[in-house]
Amino acid sequence: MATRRDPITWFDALNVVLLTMVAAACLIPMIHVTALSFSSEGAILSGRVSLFPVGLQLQGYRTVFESAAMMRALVFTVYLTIVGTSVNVMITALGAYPLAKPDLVGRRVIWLLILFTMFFSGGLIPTFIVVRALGLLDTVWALILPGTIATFNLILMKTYFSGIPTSLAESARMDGASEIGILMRIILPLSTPIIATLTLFYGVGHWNQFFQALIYIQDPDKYTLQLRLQQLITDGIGFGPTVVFGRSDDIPVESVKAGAIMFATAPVLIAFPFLQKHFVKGALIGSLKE
Amino acid sequence: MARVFATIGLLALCTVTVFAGGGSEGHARLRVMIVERAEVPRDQGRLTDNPWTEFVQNEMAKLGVDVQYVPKGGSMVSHTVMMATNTAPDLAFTHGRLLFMKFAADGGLHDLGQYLPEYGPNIRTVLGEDHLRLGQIDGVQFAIPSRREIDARYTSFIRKDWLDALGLGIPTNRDELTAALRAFKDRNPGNVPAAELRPWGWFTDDPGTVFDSDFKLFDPMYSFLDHDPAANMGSLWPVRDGFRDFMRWLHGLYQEGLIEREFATDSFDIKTRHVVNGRVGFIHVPWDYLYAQNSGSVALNLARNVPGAEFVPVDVFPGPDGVYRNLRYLPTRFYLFSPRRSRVPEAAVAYMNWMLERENAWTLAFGRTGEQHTIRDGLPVFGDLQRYADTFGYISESLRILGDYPFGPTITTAVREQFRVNDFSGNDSRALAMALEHSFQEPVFQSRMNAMSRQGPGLIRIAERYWVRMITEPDFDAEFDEFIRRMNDRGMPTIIDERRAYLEQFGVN
Amino acid sequence: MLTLTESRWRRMIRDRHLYLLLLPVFAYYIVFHFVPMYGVLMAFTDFNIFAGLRGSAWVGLENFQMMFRNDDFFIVLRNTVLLNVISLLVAFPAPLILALLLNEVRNRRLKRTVQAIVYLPHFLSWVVVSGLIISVLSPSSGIVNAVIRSFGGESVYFMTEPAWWIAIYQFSGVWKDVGWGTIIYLAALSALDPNLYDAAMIDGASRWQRLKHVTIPGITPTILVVFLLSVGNVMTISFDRPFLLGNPMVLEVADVISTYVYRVGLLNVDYSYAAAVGLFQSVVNFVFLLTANWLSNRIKGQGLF
Repeated sequence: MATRRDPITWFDALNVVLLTMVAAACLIPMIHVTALSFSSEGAILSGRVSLFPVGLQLQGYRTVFESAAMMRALVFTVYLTIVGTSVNVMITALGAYPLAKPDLVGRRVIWLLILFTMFFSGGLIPTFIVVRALGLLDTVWALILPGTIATFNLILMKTYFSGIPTSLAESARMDGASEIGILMRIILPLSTPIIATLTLFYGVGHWNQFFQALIYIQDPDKYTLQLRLQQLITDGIGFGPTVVFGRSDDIPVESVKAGAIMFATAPVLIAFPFLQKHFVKGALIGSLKE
Repeated sequence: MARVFATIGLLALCTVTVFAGGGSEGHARLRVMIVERAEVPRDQGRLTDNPWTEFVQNEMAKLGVDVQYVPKGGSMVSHTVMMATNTAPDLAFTHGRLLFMKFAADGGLHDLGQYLPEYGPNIRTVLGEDHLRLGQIDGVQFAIPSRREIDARYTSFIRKDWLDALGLGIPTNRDELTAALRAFKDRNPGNVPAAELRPWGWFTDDPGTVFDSDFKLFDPMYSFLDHDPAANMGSLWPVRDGFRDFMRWLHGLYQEGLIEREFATDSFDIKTRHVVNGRVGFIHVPWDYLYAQNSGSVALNLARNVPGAEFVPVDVFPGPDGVYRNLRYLPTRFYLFSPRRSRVPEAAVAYMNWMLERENAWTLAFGRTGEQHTIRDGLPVFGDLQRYADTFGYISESLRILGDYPFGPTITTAVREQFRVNDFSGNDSRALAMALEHSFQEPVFQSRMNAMSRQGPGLIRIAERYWVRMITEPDFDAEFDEFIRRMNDRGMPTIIDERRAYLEQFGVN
Repeated sequence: MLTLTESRWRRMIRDRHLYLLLLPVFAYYIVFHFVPMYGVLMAFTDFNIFAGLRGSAWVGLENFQMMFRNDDFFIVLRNTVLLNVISLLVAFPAPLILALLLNEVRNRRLKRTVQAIVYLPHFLSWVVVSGLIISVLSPSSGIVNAVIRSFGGESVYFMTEPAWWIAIYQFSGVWKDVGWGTIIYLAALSALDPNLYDAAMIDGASRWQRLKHVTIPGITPTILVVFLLSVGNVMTISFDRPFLLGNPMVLEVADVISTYVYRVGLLNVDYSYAAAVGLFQSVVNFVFLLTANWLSNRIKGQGLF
């Protein structure tokens, strides 16, 4: 935590240079894909595109945006992400709060059992049978409930809760607050950084859902964006019926792919700063704690 | 006649059997797998519910079968999960022969053979006994193999403009090819910077999965082996006479700098980039690589980048007997089957039978006469191709699960010509013809081969590693001997024994 | 003893509402984790997908024997552990260091911009990233080797030299996920109490001393969590990266358990074998986690549980 009183040193200069270089290295692939999405097929095939579009065209994006399937996937994925993330964060908080209490009877055993599930699973087929038995196949819940809690996130949240002074909860308890009330009114408001973090982790997880969708969703109307993207990029199943025939070379296959990648990624990139605010703010605003 | 026969049979069946599924009274409910091949246009409905699925449903209802379509992605994992959890449709299919054999061997499939005479007479007459054998395991018809019209695989191409510039003729055998490659390297007719010149570019045909690039140079390899179907079946190529010479030949070309240096690591995209930029003189690739749009219309873009550049198809790999032989794909894409737990395998057979009625097959392949096409001299004539695509093309391939109906070469060629917009000076047709000439297929085993399935993956792992090393490492003989030694250690002899025993029992197929 | 039990009961009754909160959590773990867990038995059978577990032949340890009889298996085992141990040395500290560096940046705008950029590569799939890497590092046409040559060097065969390949494998992993990894640490850092820093300042602590005595101890629980879970994954490497970056020339270092199982188990539809390898992986991972957790509890007085 550097405050105003520290003198500026060579370290600060070096740090800025270093971080700028790291950022540049991380930005390049995204710029490259963006450039591809605007470039002509011939330029891409010939390997002439690096950081700027060559042979500018918009047909790639037009194809992606005109695709009903892609739009349906977008709507469905947004819905999945919002509903799924809400469920995830809520249930994870419900688990993390009691488990953060150091003297909860049976805590160690519960943890051991939970950690056990991180390593041992029955595999695809038994899980599928459970999902089917619950009648979740081909519904959005098949993509949410089997992953309600990511144990890693549960641990993160529990670690965070453990760091919140117990005295706050104790005094509320003295005042007769219920446990759920303490969680909602005392603990969670102090936990914006971890909530933002988990929202990001779960949210991105849902946004990128591919494998579960492949297994549990058969109806193309409920395909996720990543499933569509995967089909396009690796299986070559394209948008728009014209692709079937190979009638002409004016459909820029490669830039459609790049455009679809951008299409599927951009919403996350736009959402990120809003969450970022929360896990940066905590430290800057000052003490939220006693 | 056949249809009437099948209808009567099915009606009889329906009155006798009580079906558990819903369906209207007395009707069998048949769930049929459907795979998305292209996007369904907004105004046409959905994959499982559009004018064309409705058409088939109506027609099948007349036969007493209520068809319900079950969409499925193409993934092997989800397929297996469906089979394992009894959620697979009554009529399903897979494109993997291995998976089909596994399903059959594990007792998961109906024997469809018993229903063919009554419900599927067209299946036998249209597909033929030979073709049907692809769906048999130990003589039992566990699947109906779909039909693939074009089973062409690889063709070689050489830069005609380079040959012309050097005053060389089209090479016709390996020695002439080697001479041409040398001339490309030494005299550089394309004025390509020396570091970028690739006399022989090299391809695997699996974009994105360089890691499991197994051996793809079948045609050049078989040009070193005696043409002997019995040996193809009862042996393995590493122990065949001529294989060592073949690898040594490649090794020599590579050491001389005639073969793409990075053939083992470069991705499909990079290799294509070199071709498109005119740095490559010779390639041995899938026959439509240069022309297909989904690989980027390579030929068109090459001509744009390098005016005058032209690849022409060439036959340069004659066998020891002088015949140019080409490996072809199996004449099937899908294995269609009915899971053991389905109660309506007869209806599944009847559905396939309906599809193989010429009239129905015509509609599903070309659309309705008067709407998607008109008929002139017995040939379909397509007017507005875009309209064809938007009103029918999107679903045609999804519905034709039995593949290409044999309308005969005249019709097939006429249709292909109409959908071909780009002019490749006939090179594409010649490439196809060349790939089909004297073509033969790898042996098909119709029993479960235990040694092969147990030891096979381990052997492939060794082959993957050594076929590259034998070419790139300086000491060829050491690498080759090591390769053979390790293949033997890992069970190659047991596989050969198994194949030989199979050959003795069943003969060449 | 009696009083202890009594107090236990009393505590449980006192905390009954907490257990109530845990109910949905229990339900989730039981339904979606413990119920399907019978599936591990597949590793002890010759699994027939149509007969299910009950109908499949019980083969005891045969799948495991097959696994250990195979030389290839030890090579992929070695590769998996080797790549993971290097990752633990390289990829584990990288996000921590980046987060600390970010934390020292004074300009808020710069800090947030850099943050928003470094996590970008996380969103590109390995298919896209590997294509990019192979192309950039290509000896004949890649930009990196063009630079090397312009300085009079010789082209480096990055993807075919095993040592280089390992370096590229590690580097690409760091590059893709370092930004993403900082998120956890940034959240932990933002939760630190600024009063502690003020106190340290008053005591005249330098920036380095504050880092050492306030910041690091403050986020140690988070570092421990990440470290312990990485140790608990010593036998696991996900499929995409080694598969897509690998090639036949580096098979001897690039083939790991997941790529091996893909070819030997899944391509060959041998589920029992794949399950046996999976079970072996899980057991080793779990043992490593428990050991590391025990050590951590002994030495630092804190662990995962």
